Amino acid sequence: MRRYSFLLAIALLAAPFIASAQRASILTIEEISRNSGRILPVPESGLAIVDINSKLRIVPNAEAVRSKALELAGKAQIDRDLRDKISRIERILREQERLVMYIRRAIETPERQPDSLMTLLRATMRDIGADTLLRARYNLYSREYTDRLRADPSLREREDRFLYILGRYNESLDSLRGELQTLEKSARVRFSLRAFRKDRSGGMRLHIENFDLFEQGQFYEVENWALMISPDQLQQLQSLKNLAATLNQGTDKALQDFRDKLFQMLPALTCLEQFPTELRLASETIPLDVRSILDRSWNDVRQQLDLLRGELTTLSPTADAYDVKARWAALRFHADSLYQSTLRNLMALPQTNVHVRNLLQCTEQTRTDIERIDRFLRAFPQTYLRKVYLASDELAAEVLAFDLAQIPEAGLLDLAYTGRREEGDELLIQALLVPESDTAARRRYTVIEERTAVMVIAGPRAVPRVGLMMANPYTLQQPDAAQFRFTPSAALLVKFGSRRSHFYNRFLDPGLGIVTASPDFSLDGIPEFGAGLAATLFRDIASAGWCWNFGLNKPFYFLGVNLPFNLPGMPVGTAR
Amino acid sequence: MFSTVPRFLGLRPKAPWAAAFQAAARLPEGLTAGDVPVALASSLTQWLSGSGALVADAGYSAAERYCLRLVFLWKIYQAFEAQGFGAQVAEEIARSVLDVVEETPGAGRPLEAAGLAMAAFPGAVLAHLKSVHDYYRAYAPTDEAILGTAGVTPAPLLLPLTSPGFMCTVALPADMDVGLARELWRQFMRENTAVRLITVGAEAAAREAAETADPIFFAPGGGQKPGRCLWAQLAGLMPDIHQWLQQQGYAHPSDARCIVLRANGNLSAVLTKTDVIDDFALSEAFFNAC
Repeated sequence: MRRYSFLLAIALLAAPFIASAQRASILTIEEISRNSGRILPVPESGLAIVDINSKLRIVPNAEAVRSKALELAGKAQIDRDLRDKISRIERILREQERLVMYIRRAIETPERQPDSLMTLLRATMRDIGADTLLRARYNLYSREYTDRLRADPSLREREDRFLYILGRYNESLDSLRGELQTLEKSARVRFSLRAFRKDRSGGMRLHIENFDLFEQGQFYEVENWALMISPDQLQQLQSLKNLAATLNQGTDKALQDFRDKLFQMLPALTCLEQFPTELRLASETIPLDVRSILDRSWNDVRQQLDLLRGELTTLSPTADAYDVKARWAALRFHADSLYQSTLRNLMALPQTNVHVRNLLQCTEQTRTDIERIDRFLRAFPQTYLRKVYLASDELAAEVLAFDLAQIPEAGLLDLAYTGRREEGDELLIQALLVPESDTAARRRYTVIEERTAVMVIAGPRAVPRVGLMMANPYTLQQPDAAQFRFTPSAALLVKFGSRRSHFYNRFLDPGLGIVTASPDFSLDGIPEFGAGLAATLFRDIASAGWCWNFGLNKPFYFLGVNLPFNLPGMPVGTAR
Repeated sequence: MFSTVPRFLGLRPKAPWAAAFQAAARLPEGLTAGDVPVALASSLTQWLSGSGALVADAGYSAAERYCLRLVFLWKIYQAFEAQGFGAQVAEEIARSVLDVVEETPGAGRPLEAAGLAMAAFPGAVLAHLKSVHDYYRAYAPTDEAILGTAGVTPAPLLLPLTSPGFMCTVALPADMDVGLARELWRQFMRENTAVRLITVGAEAAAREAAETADPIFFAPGGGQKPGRCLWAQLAGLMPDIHQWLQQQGYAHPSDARCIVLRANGNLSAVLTKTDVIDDFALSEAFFNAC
């Protein structure tokens, strides 16, 4: 039992390290071979080895960036802030949705008279009353109105209390955009990638395609950012977008209903259509000058009515310039004028003429109808609905701007275009986070991941070598001559760089190739020509090979030591 | 007073505003201290009505309109003073004087009126009021039958538009004469032109309800025209109100806090003493009564 406890304790202690080891890397780097296009993964840890002429594809892991950003910024606080903001936005949207729903229900309910504004008011009030939150806000906004009214009682003539309250409900919707923008800003962290080449003389910054712009010797960062919002929260935001879209549709529908109801009410004015006929039929009783006055007045009304009908057919909630109420006011003005003219001119005439009576009845009926429509229009929250429509549209667009990250899928670092470089130069690639609020002048970079790689020439390459070899013509019988004789040589070696082993690249560095030499094995002062195969090791310091002396037709082998520095009495061995 | 004496037309007894001014200066006999606020509000309502009509009478100059309005304000003050309530009404009368000063263009008012707002309140204002009254009587062709008497002709009290401090509420104080209150209540109930509210009780909750309802009925919104409110604080009026409620089929009149009447005079709703009476409740009651 004790043994198991011990193992458990070990496991618990090791857990964070295991988790840390398993944590996803922020960067995945792939090497794309310049010639073959072959893609090779670059190891995540240690000093990687990449080909000096390859392209590097650097792929950031957005989720890992977000996790790291959260870890750095204090996850709990950010989560709480976001949750609060999201729930507030949702609450306001739902509140508006309910209001619009009440208004729609009041307009749509078929058993109620469409011209009854009171129906709308009562229904809206009843539903607001059933909602604690809405009721509390109603009281708040109503008291605000009252305070303004006390300061200036004439406010009553200029601004309707009910519409003011609806407008205030609306403002909370307006504030949501700002709220969303703040939310996005507070949750946003800039993500950046930088690369440097380090050589013996220092280092220089390299251009990474998609992450910076290099123009006229200056680097300009491309705006990349990650959101510290969890997928759950993003899901919530998406549902807010849907809510805003629903609200938008509901408002649109309410405005359409408003148009339809108004259309339904306009036919009540059809007796106006008969007005000119009745006027003509009553020509015996009505003097010509009066007829022309009434005819002109009727024409004005008719024109306004046609304009109103025309505009109603194209009513769009987005058309700010559109104002049904203004058009209605014009119609009402002309209808009033017609009413006054008709009364003034016809009341004095004998009422025995049925057409005169019809004209009077028509104007009376028209006036009543206009009053009825006027009541409907006066307090219909058209402006409110239009504002809701626009605000919800903008909100949906604002939520669309939310994405986990705006980080390019990959950055490209083409080593072939990084200027003069040598084997063994190092690359440094950094992933950085910068808080969005930091200004360009004063940015606090936090390096969240760093990767290094050394550049080698991977794959086969030919290397010429000129040096001296110690040749041994082992088949020649020259007892007085030295067994090994110095001979100048030139070799063309094939070498292979490794992507796996620094020991191989830096120490072994083998080469295999052909060698030519000009030994004087015959000792007559005239060199012969020899050629053969050579192998080198330890960065060509040690070499060995076998050759054929074509002058003497004899083989020889050789050994060589090419030290990378001069020794007194020793020939230079590093010429290329 | 004025640098040159204006050409006064004098008071035309048949002018429509003259009747309103005269009615403003007539008070019922035997007012009690409790009756004074309502009686003063009633007088000032009449006086305001006369002022409005006088403005429309284009024959009169601004200076004469200024004098006429103040002359009748002085007469209202005198009428109350005659019954021993001069001090009680002095401030409200003085406030009305300052309103007239503010509403009159500079050329239409005496020179000393300019500094009146800064002068001792209400003493200096009332002194100016009296001096204008005397000046007008001295220089205008006056009708002594009208201007010479001071509130001695008794008249029934008319329902004021509003009580001081309210926008459309007539407050009937707890200590006012029951007969007078009953008369005003009846006038209120007969006024079948608007949605009305009666708040009953003198306690803090009733005050809060009356004060909340006042601006809502003054400007209800929803395109509706204003309503009127009566705040019956006196217990003596309760039997009449309860009886009316019972006649309307309301079974528990003693629970009532706010009674809402339709424009036709029928009962619309009753908010009881246990109901939440806030802006919303009152607005909803108003709309339901429309």
